Amino acid sequence: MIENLLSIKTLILIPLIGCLIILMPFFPKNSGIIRRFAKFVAFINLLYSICLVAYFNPELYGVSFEETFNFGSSQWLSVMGSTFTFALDGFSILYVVLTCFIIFIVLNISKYFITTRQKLYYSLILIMEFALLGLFCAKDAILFLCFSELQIVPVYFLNTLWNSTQDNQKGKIKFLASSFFSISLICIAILILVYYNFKVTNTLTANLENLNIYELIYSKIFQIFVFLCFLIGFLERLGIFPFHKLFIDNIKNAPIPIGIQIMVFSQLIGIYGLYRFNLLIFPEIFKLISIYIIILGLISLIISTVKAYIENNLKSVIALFSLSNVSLILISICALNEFSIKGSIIYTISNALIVTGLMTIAGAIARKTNNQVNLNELGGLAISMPRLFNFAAIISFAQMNVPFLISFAALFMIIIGVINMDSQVGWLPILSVILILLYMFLNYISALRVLHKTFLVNYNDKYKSLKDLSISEFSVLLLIFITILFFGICTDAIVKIINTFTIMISDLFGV
Amino acid sequence: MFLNDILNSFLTEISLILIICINMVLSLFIKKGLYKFIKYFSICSIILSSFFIGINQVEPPYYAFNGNLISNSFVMFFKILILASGIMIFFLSRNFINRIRNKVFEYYNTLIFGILSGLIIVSSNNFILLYLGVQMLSLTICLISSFVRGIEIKKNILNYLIKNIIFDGLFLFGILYLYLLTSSFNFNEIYNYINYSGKYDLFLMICFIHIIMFLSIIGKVIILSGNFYKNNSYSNCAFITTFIPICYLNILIKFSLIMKNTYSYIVDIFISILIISLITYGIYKVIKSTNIKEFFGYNALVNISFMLLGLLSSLNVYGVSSILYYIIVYVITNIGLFSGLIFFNGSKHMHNVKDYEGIIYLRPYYTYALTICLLSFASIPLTGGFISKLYLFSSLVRGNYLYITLLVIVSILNLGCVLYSLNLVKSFFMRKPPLKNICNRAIAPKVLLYLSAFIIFMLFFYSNTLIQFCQVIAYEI
Repeated sequence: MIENLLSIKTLILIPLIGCLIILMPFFPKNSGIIRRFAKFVAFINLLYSICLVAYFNPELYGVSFEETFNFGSSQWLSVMGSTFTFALDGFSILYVVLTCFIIFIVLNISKYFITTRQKLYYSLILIMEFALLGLFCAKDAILFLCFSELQIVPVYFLNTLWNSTQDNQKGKIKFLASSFFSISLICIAILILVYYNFKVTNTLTANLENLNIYELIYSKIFQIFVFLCFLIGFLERLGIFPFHKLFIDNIKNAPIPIGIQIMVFSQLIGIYGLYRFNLLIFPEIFKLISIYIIILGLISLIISTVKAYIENNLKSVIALFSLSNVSLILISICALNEFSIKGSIIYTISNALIVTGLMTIAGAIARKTNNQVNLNELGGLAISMPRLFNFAAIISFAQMNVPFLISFAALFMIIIGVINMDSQVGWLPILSVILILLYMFLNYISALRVLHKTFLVNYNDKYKSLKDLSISEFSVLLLIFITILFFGICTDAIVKIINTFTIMISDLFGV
Repeated sequence: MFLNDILNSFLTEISLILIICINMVLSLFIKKGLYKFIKYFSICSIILSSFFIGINQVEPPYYAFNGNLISNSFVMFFKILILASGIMIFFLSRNFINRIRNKVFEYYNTLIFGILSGLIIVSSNNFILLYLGVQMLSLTICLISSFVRGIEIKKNILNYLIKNIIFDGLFLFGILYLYLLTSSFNFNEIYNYINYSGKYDLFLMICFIHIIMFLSIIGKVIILSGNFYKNNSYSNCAFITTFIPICYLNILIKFSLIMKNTYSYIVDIFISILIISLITYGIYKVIKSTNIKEFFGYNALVNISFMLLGLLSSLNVYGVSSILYYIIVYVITNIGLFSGLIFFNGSKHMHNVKDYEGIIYLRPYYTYALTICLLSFASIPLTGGFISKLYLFSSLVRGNYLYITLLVIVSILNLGCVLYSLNLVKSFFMRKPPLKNICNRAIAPKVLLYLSAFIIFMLFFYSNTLIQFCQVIAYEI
């Protein structure tokens, strides 16, 4: 019976309806009511997404819950071959649940950081959730473009209206410009892809399943051009070198909930796009260019890990951890075998959870120490805030890829995948593994350094009277901890869902 | 024959001329205090004239007055757009009329004259008639602006007139040179001469003439400077920013179709460079402007520049249909925007961009409607503007590989549009001590604002039929 009630339409529309209710004139202006209503909507959506996972058939080769919306008697944009079609497969369903979970977490911690214009803030978050869910469920390239462009708008407003530090005005405009630049490249690539697909097959369609280039005859230059447009667009969303500076500057100055959204969701979109467009539509070109992407990933990995060790701003350190994780994911995707693909997907989830947890902890520290995020000024917080320290330690261990936590299994799969990489350049797998080991070492010492400096040494009297975690902070961090631990022990739960997807990719590449 | 010509193609125009004459007679007898009567009379008369459009012959195309006027689906499309915009402008001019009660007859007559000029431009099949229509439109712009009090606007009008003469001269030069080559002013004869005479050596000259006339029309848009908008009234700015794109793009589409030949790639290169320059110039001016009317005046220039993309010669049906669809969305959005500005200007102290900071705290729902209109200009999804720009860009992809380079450049320039639109929207939501309360009892701006926002939102989902309709019109011409 529950299965009959499950639909993508409901999943995507719940946050939009919630947003519209908040904006209604009759809705109370009390900030507590607005906050609780928004959290309630996010919670319902989270439960709904978990039900979708529960009733998802992982053995089905292809998509589930497919739905197409027609407007009037016609499809959405048949003149451009586009339909308003949504579907879920093993890959996107995980992203959907992760998005709902992180939005729920963000809404819970927002109460400490957002004290003005709550109606607008919570409605923007719900619009962003609507855009993200639409993006991950879109089965049509133009629909994907539409939702990814829509997603940038609430991020822009969140970043500028609640982040009014004067010293980073230009940075915010640059960040917006770079986000729209990446969208423009993706837009051009999609339009070219759809039109040239039409020229060859005589069928005007933007459906992602029908755009597989490997079956068709296109010139290599055309394929490389379109591939590069997608690649640059999605790498910009990931914040990979050389786009990292803008990324870090924005996160450093943004309030914690907004920083989490900028970081986590940008990276999720970037990785999702790389899979859906670069990998699945251009497999031959991906194989050709993967060497260069791996080299870029390795450079980014080392730079971000070294910088994380040197950096003293807590938020910047977390951003750099996130960038190093994403660089590893990028290398893993390019290894193009079953282990590396599985490892990259699980590490993506792990990165999102770890970054959310670390930023929540950084937010708690900043809030309680009067906005102090400089590691040199902090110290000995474990004495006054033992519960916070416990969570910080566990989440830092997850960043260090300690066993029984989600990241360990993922890293293990990535290393095996990279070793088994089928590369024409013989030294590349060996170099990659060496650099990954170096990354692991630097990652350990960076994470331990942060933990050590913040909580264990240089005890300062002015932090003596700090209160420990509040109930809501405690419950949020407990939730993250349980998720990290659960999927660290039961990683197979994720592997089963993505199994068919990884088999499909393996078939595509003949591995 | 004469009666047939009038009935099948010119009845609306004749009725407008009659309304002007009746207004002039009424102005002699009716007291100035009864200005509201003339307002309702003018609006009802225009609406009634609009119904005469329905009896125009469209299939097959009808050539009236010895082929000097044409009536087909393309012309009908533009006529409906002009009449609808004209009616909306009438509704929006209430606030302005209240300030010029003693000149209400003259003002409405001038507006009707402007609508008439637009109709003549779109239905002309002859260069002389086209030139006449263009002159009438320029004259209308000067006359409606002259109703605004102040010495500054008078200086701007004089400035505009002088610069206009230069581009009129260029336009006339083009027409006469074309006559020299083809011995005709008629569009059909010129088209037949170019395509069937076999005189391929003249094609380069035709391209040169095309470029001259293109420049003359674009020049007429550029000379509308920031100060011209700044010192003008809101309803006049709404008229100018709505009618100029409709009429001039109609002219440019006709030029592209008539004068297309083997050397049209030269014109394409010229248009491409012009588009890039105009968009850059327009965006620069928008970002620099502090006055809200100047802001949207230059925004109109940016949008016209984007629409020029559809004129590139290889694009044919898709290019023309993308312009037609873009114009529809632009007109609705522009009317909505100016309705919002007129509404907020009720307090008379909101002429600058900075005055719009924090308006969400004064009138939240009008602000949301205004936001939807601005997001449409920024081509953000869930608005018709996104579909219009996407369709325009997709039409470019259907051309040759050079157009893809142009597409990349234009997409990057589009960032500028997005930035300035989002920047303005952001200022609506900034925290600022509230100004004195906005009190504007006029119903028309509120209704038009909500209606425009609603239509723009719905166009995101229901564009398909409208785009197919535009494609049918484009196929027919």
